[in-house]
Amino acid sequence: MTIPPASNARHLYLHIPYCAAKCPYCDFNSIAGREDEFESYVDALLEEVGRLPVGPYETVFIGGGTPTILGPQALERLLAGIRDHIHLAANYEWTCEANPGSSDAERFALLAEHGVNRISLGVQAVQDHHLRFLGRVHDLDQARGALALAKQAVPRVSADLIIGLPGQTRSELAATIAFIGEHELEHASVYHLAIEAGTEFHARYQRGELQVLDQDTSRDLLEQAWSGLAALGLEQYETSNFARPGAECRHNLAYWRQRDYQAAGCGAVSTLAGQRMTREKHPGRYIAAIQAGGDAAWQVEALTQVELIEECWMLGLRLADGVDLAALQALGDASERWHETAVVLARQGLIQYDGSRLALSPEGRAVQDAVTVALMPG
Amino acid sequence: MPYPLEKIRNFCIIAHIDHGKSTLADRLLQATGTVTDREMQDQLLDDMDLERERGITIKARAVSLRYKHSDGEIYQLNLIDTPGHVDFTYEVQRSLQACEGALLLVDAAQGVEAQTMANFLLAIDQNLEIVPVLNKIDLPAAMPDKVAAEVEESLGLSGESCIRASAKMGIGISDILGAIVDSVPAPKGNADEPLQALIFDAVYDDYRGIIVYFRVINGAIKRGDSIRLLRSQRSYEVTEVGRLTPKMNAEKAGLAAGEVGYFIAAIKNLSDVKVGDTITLDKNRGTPLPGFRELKPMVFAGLYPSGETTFDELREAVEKLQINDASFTFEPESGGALGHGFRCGYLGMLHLEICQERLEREFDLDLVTTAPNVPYQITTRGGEDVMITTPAEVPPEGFDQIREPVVELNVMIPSAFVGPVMQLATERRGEFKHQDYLGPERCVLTYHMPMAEVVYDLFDKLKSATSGYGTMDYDLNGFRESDLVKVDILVHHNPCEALAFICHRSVAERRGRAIVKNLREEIPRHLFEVALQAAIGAKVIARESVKAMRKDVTAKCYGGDVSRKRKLLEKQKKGKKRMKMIGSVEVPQAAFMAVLKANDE
Repeated sequence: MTIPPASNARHLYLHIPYCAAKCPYCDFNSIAGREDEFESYVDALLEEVGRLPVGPYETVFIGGGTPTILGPQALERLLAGIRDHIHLAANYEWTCEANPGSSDAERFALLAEHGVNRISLGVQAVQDHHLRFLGRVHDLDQARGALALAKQAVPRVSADLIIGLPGQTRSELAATIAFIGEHELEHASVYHLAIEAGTEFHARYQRGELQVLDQDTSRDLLEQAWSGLAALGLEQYETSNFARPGAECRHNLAYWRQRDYQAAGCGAVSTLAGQRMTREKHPGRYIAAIQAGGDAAWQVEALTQVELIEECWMLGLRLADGVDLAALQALGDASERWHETAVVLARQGLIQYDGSRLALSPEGRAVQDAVTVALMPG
Repeated sequence: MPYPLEKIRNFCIIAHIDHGKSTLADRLLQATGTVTDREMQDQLLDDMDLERERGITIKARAVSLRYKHSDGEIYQLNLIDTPGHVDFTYEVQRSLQACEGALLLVDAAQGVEAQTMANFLLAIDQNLEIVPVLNKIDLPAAMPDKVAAEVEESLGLSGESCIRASAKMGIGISDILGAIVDSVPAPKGNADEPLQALIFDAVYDDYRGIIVYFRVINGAIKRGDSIRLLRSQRSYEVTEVGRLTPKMNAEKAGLAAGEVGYFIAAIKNLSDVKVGDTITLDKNRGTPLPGFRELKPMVFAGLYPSGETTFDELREAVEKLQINDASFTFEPESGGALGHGFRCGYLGMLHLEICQERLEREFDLDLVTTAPNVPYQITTRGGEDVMITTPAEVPPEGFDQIREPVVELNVMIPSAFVGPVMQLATERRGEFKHQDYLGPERCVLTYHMPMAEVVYDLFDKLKSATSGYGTMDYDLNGFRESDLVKVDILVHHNPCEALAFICHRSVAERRGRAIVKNLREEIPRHLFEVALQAAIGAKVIARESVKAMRKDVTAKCYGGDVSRKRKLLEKQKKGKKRMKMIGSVEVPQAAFMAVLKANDE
């Protein structure tokens, strides 16, 4: 057992690993076709939640997998169990992820009834051939229907979309942006497709069966997406996240601002006072460990000072607000080390740097990793 | 009691590469019972892993055979192995000087080749008795009669005298042993005269220190003797003397005139032991043997540590390598972007490759080798003559004259390939000297050609121009004035000395273009556009650019994958650190070989 460090974390992540099908691009901890395990998983998750400090929590995020794949009964038991144990802050944000293929009015009503006030829907693409390529079980009509239901059920709705798909045209991307506008979404997460290790896409890519876009095409699509979203009034407050002012996902902002966060569920990660714990990834083993009274820890990292500094750069540069220079200073990364690099990057137009604020410019956003690496220590 | 001279024969085997020299040596060892079949490792004399892998002899070795001749007497046959590559001609010469006779081995399918000819001429120069042997007569493609006629025609040896053999199948081995006793003269010399012994090789052994291989010409040497090396004027006490059987076998009585063996003394530096030097006694000194020649490296390249390897590790390794290979030279050099390293001198490209491989394998180093070049002579603006071994030494203000080394090149080819070979020689600035026929179907073309056109890859080009049949040999023929220019390579306006090269003006533009094009492929995209230029002085002759990076974004990063995404960036950062900085540009190590690859285009 790892003794959790003292922390009054205000953010809580809960993981539901199950999905209707495993998508070929997805590297999140998810598993398909284990309906028989749902009940015991909910038991184990509630057992772990029961051991957590009661809060109050400012944000809760139920992610997956597909949380809404749980049947209405299991879902209700889960939500009620969470509410029974933890306290929510006055102005809390409680997000639940959902997929159009497992969305219905009954489930969304259950979410709202138990306090969920934000739904993040995995729309991913707005052309059926791209949805098929991504291995999604839903079609565009289902996505539209699910969005409408979500908006009826909760005050805040976000959609996840993937761009930079092989063969994606500018007009297809325009249709994707237009879709966000048509549904008057206050928030969207728009990702460029990445070939992640361990996914089916990765295997296909390595076998030479999957072509990815060249840098120039990718860049063009990113710029088109960013300006299209800006025109809709959605600000790029993070690399891949766009919102009307005030509609940002506060839970995710906590990650990017290096706040402490609690977690429960298989594969879920908590970070408390510089100690990061990853739980057992496999749901069966997670359930067994929790049932046996253990903490299901799979990996515990004590973040070093250098790692915390690196994360401060990496996460901070993702934000429109930029790197928290005061936090950086407090972590011990004095500006003497990086000031000259920052001046050069600013001269190249890749960052905006005025001594008190350091953030990527739109030019720099497209080459964020290279800029981060240039500024990071090591 | 010295071994009777008339019972000693000292011989070597000379052959073109792959004509079966090492196999024959092994067979002689077996046939005389010098080693048992059980002890027999294939090709026993090549005891470096590298030699066995490459199938060529790099270092000369020696072995004493006890042979019972048909006359009933026991003879001591000393076989001195010779290296089989043009880079090591000098070592061949030394080995020959320690012998009275040579087996000239010719592949019965391939016939006389360039190195057969070159080694034959070296052997004749040393007045050796030649015993011609046609090897591989068991091969279906063997044409012993035709090759015997070729031997007669091209070498002037009697075709009838050729022994027909197959070392592989053990055919003709006893004939060869008999011929060594009957044809090779016994050594002359006098055991009572002051010691004169010739060093023909030396190696460094981790356990025993430096082992010197030598041939006693006059006098005698035994354990406890205080000896002197006449070249280096250093004295040592001999701690062990013996024969090679082929293991080192200490001989209490020592060795006397005519014999071949090894000695060990507390010698610290192999550079004190020069192949060709004369050994004598400190008290009763003999005169130096003739013909000593200091070896001069003809190919130079920068050698730099990379990756985890440090400069100190590299220095220790090159020092140790030189103990084992006195013809390898090194001088500290600063290579700008590459940091601190060494300018290393080699006898030729094969020698360079072997040294590099040995450093990487035996010392487990990570290395960057810059493009090799030959040495040049420069007359400065001030009228001074200097030798330079790197383009970096070309005076920035220019020079009055530049001279490059020129070789006499002999190319042996089937007559059908004369056309393509002449074309190749012309492209390489070869100056035709003469053409000689070795029979109706084969001929030798002789050229004077700049060494720079020969050493890097001419052999490969010759092979492809002659369907693999052409062979070549060359020897330095002095330095000639030439219209040479230094081409600078500028990476984002910073000249990079490690990429600069010297070449003939007529090809400067083509090579400059090829190099910047190769560099464009090797240098990764940066946050800015990287300009690449080739220039002669201030005049840009070729330009390319590496476009600025357009996209490099980690799309997702949430609470569950912060550590993993951080590690990916750490890896990216580490990869950058492995690169060499030229100004603000990160250049991968492979780029420094871009100059070499450009030669192929």
